[in-house]
Amino acid sequence: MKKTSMTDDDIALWMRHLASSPLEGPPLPDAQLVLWRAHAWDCAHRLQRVTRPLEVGGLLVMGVALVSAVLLLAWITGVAPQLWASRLFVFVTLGSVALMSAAAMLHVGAIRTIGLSLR
Amino acid sequence: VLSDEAFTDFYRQTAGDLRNYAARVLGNISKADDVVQEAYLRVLRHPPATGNPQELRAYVFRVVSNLIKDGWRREKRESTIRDMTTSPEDQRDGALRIDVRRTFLKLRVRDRQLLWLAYVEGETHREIASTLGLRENSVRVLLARARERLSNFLQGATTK
Repeated sequence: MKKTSMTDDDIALWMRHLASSPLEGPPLPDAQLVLWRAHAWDCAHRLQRVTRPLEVGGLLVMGVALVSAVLLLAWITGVAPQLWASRLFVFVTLGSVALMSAAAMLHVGAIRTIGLSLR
Repeated sequence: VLSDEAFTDFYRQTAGDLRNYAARVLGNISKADDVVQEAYLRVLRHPPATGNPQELRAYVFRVVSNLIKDGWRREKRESTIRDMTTSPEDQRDGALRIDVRRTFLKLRVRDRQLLWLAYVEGETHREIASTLGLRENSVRVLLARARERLSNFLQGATTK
């Protein structure tokens, strides 16, 4: 069969046919749902702006506390190295490090949980 | 800023057309719904400085076009053809309807967008250029090529 070029009207007709064929799929979400999602996003965005400094602050506190503890230990070791011979001292030191780490993790985790639950 | 009532009216007036556009160009209704919803969320988050319904409509079509383009760049493959041609609804549909969709999906995304905006939305070259972020002169050339490619596909289908 010989090819003949399609006219603009042919293309328009074909496109109209395509546009008029029904779309399968679930119905469109209601406008209220889209509005609700937008409001929820806005709310989460604003809260995130509030919780972000707290999160960063928590990490900073954790870092400063860790560095301070290491410096303190180094100083104590220099001044009274015999303290490391005491099991109680080692136990208390390790316990303090564990408690500090747990507190820092809980702090950051709590802030993140709050942020996520509000999204 | 769009009030809730204004948005609801705007949504009801445009969502169907926008979904049709996105679904035909993407060839996948669920992706189209994601794109359309994201577009409306963007309109609500960053409403354009206009209350004119026509300008709002053009804006949301532009957002959808950009989302389609971005998504397409990410995927870099034409998996959508498979999505459309293997749906159970298609198997029930007449052969002509399937061919219409399949043929359209053979075109490049840009061609689909151009043809849809020109022939279904009835946009002028200038409006298409604004929607797709192209120059007006480029639209004229690209649209002619898209028409030619569609014509070739259609004639190829009819001569088989």
